[in-house]
Amino acid sequence: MRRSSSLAAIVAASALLLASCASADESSEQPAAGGESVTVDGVTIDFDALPENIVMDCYAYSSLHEYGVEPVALFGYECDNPFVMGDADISDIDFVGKDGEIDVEKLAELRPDAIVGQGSADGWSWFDDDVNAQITRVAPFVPLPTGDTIDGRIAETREIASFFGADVESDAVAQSDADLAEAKENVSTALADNDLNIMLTSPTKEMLYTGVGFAQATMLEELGATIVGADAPATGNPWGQVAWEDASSYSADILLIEGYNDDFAFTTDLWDVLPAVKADQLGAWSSKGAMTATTYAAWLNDVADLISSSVKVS
Amino acid sequence: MTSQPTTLGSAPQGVDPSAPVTESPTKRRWIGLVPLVALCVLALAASMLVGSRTIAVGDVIHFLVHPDPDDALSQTIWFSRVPRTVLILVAGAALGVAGTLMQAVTRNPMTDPGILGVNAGASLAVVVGLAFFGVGDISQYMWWSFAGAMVTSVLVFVIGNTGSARGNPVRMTLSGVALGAVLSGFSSAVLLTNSRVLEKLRGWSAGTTASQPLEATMAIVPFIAAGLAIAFLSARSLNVLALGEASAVALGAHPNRIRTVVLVAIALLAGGATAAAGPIGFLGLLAPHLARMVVGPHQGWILAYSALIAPAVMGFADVLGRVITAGEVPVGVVTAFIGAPVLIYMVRRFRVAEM
Repeated sequence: MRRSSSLAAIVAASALLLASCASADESSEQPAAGGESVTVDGVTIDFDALPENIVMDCYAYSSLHEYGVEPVALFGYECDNPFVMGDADISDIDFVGKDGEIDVEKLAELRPDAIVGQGSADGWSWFDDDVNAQITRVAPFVPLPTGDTIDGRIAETREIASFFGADVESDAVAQSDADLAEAKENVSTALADNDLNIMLTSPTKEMLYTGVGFAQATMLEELGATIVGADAPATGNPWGQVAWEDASSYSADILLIEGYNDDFAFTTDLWDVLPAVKADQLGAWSSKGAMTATTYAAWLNDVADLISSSVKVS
Repeated sequence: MTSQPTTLGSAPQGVDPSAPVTESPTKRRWIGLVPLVALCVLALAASMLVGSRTIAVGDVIHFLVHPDPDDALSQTIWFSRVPRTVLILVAGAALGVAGTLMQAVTRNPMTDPGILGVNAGASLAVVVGLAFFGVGDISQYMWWSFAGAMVTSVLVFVIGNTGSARGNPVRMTLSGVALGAVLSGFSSAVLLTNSRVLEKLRGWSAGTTASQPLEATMAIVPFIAAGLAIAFLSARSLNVLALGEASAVALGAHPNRIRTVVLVAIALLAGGATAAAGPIGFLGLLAPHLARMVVGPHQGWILAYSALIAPAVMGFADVLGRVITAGEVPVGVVTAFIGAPVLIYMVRRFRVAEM
């Protein structure tokens, strides 16, 4: 009798275990009743309820703050880079990490509902797999969109903001769209009047990196610009690599430098003799940072002004 | 008659290396210098003629004789090929000789500037300069690196060569390894929380000849020349030191004084080379081993051969790095790829004895 009751208990426990496993499988495929989901780059991330406590990397905040989505904490690279962060004020926001570091314990204490940043549903681009495994156990990771076009990324970023409860149909958002359309027109007009070659770059001591494969370059091309630089690799990171000896073989009238600002101090002999550098026809671009219509309208207007004030030097 | 395995780094027992050598081996060593000089010249010529940009030999010669500041090819030759070739010669010779001195003074065949923590010290100094003192310009890295290498060399010597067990080569090597680990730890701590510095340091820390202006290389030439002079003038003393502490003292030598003088040379050579090209591994280890295989345990000849072997290897490695991929592979990465298999081969092929 005692043996049969033990057997019954084991069978019952096994049945419960199997049932719980089955329910766990189901919950990973579709949200539970009343759950929420957001789709980024074709991948759907499910939540039990609409996320309220959100931890973001600074690239995500630079985009989402425009829609009023505020984080409980930040982490990541370039949080103190004004070119990336724009007018986002981070002085009163808590940090759970800086650059490539994150304090997982501190993250867990905040009990976030979602983590948003550059990467994939498996985690942040710059964390090791084991760190990503830990942070995704704390909360689902919502990646920033990585579509081929800037317009597509702006639209998808707006969908993420909407998912987090932002009003993305406000007058301000509509105005930013109008500003972006006008800025595109300004670039096209400037290029029609002054057809110059543009190279998107990131100079380093060891070599010159060029940005032919980036969505920002594609956008300028669509507006009529001739983009020069090394071809992007077939797969992976789109940076093209140019040995310094070859830098002058790309006929660029304008150089857009990633993160360029008034403190830009890079110098090497073969950079200094590039025609665009000698003519001081330099501007800024960023492969990351705020993916909003406002940001890109401002950038394109700066590019249009630079094109108008530049001359053919290549 | 049984053949003996070739021995690296072992002084023949009972033979005074400072004693006059027979004419035959000396003649062979002089003759051996000829192909080595030719190989070195070939490497330097390849550095002038080969790069990611194809330039005809005639154009290279033309623009060397008639520089044109507005011509792209002339700019490539004078702002890339010439500075890199000079840097290969200067830094290569310095690293080869510094490695020889380190192996001689520690009596340890596995020592080089990397093992003794000099590279780590130079790197930390550059990291500190970039992170906390606003160093931004490439030419400024050099002096920070130089200071770091000098301070580290002195520290390793003081830690490893003072107190009751001074003169123990193993202790000095361990001091270098330990100090290098500590300094690398400090560098990592700063770099992990400062992406801006990490990005700036990326190229330099791999060891590269790219983008170093000729003026910057020429600025370290006096230091390296002084280091080379001290090294060659110390050759006889190093031969005596190779006999062991007790024998050296019995012969009237002052081991600690020899080590102090040689340390100054090491700091000048390794510090100068690392300052100019970043930390380049294996050259300082490889060159003395190759030299010792040819000339035997005579420090003067090992120094001379190392001073030619190291720039030759560095030159071919740098040229290979220029053409192997789009963009470039830093010479420090290529020397590691070449150096590691060669070292493994030597360890397997030859019996490496304690010095």
